[in-house]
Amino acid sequence: MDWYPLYNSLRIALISTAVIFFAGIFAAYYVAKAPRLVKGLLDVVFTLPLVLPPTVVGYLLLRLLGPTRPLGTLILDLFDVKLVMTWWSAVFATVVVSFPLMYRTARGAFESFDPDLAHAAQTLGRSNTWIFWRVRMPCCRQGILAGTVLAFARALGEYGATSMIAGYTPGRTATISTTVYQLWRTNNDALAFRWVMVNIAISAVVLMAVNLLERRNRTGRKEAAPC
Amino acid sequence: MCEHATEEILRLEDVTLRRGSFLLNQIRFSVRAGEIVAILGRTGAGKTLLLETIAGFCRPEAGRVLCRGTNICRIPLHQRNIGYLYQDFSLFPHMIAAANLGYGLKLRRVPKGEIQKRVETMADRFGIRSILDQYPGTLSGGEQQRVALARALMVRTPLLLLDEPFSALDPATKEGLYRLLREICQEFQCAVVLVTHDFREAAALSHRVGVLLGGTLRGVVPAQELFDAPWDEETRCFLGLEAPEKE
Repeated sequence: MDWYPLYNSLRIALISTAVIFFAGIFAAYYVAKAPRLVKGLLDVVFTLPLVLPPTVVGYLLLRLLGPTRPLGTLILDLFDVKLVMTWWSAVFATVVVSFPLMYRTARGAFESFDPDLAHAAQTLGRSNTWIFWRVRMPCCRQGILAGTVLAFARALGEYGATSMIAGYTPGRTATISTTVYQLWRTNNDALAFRWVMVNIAISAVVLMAVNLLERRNRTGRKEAAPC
Repeated sequence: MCEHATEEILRLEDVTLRRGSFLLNQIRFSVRAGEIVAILGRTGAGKTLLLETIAGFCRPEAGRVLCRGTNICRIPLHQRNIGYLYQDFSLFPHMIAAANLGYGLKLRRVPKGEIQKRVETMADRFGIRSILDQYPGTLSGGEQQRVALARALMVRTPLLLLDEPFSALDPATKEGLYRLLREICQEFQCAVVLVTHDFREAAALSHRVGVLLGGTLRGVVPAQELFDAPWDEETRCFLGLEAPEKE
């Protein structure tokens, strides 16, 4: 059994989760504070990939990053780097598709954060940046953690946009989900089932780890009041 | 009672601020070290807005806020060194009581050992030594209030702003905290501005009382003269000294 799809899927999911973590938090924080009209508009833009079919996202990404398109051509000319049909092309797809999960969960957490806590911290002598990481983030950790896990799980299982922008090349761009499809299409049901089990096992381990972490936090803090 | 010889900590000079259709109009009063001034008013009278203006959450459109003679209107909130206590205490729920107390000192890069020593000294003073390792969610209202007060005083703030801090507490706990607040106010020589809608609390706790109605401060009088001062008709109605006119 060639383990490349596992390695590639984990690599893509981890990189895109790292990108989404910061981008989602940044977007959620500023949208939560934005005026109502701006908030409504940005909310639609940031949530759109969640409701669009992944193939539509893939199509739009191809239109943007394809080698005959302005951005794709520019990057190819400047850095001699192709943005499609490589393993990192899948990162673009997973970032776009998974971003709304992180953004929406983090935004909910930020909106339920008690602003008096930030004010109290300010009166004790710290600027907004410090308070954001030391007060706001720990208070919103459950939402942030949930968003991160959801984004990771979504990135790990992404198929539609990934197959359009990265394709399926064994040993180069194959991920678990594209491999399962190809194996099923070529009637290799036994191997396809094995990859399905691998995917389920990874997702279950991630979810169990998060639950364990949460329970340990809760026990450690006894019955600390939620923010 | 506050001595007139003590240093003036806070002075408001014609502070004016508009929020929508609400106007905080030309507020002027001062508070000296060791003095507690209560601002009485109905809900929506502008009490919290007044405190937030002093603390720096809002900048006045006119007038000056002087702290120890320096105009602090342009000084950022986090550099003002003003303690602010909320009705719900606003303790950081992810930190134990000791970490809440030491938070301000940690920000000022005080060495760890020194923080621990000062936290324990302050905890002894406030009678909260036994709860230092507990999270705020496990503490009673009175305990949370003590921790919040101690946290504000850890950074040696000269001015403490209290936004209806006792309204959620039972009468027995309130009495204990009144006594504690008066003691620490003298001991730490800090000026206290307290906003409340409770006449009894204002009279029992403060040295002077101001009445704020519709964004206008109707006057500041010694606490024992609250019901005898020559107030205008609206203030007398608010204080229950005169029945409101029937239309």
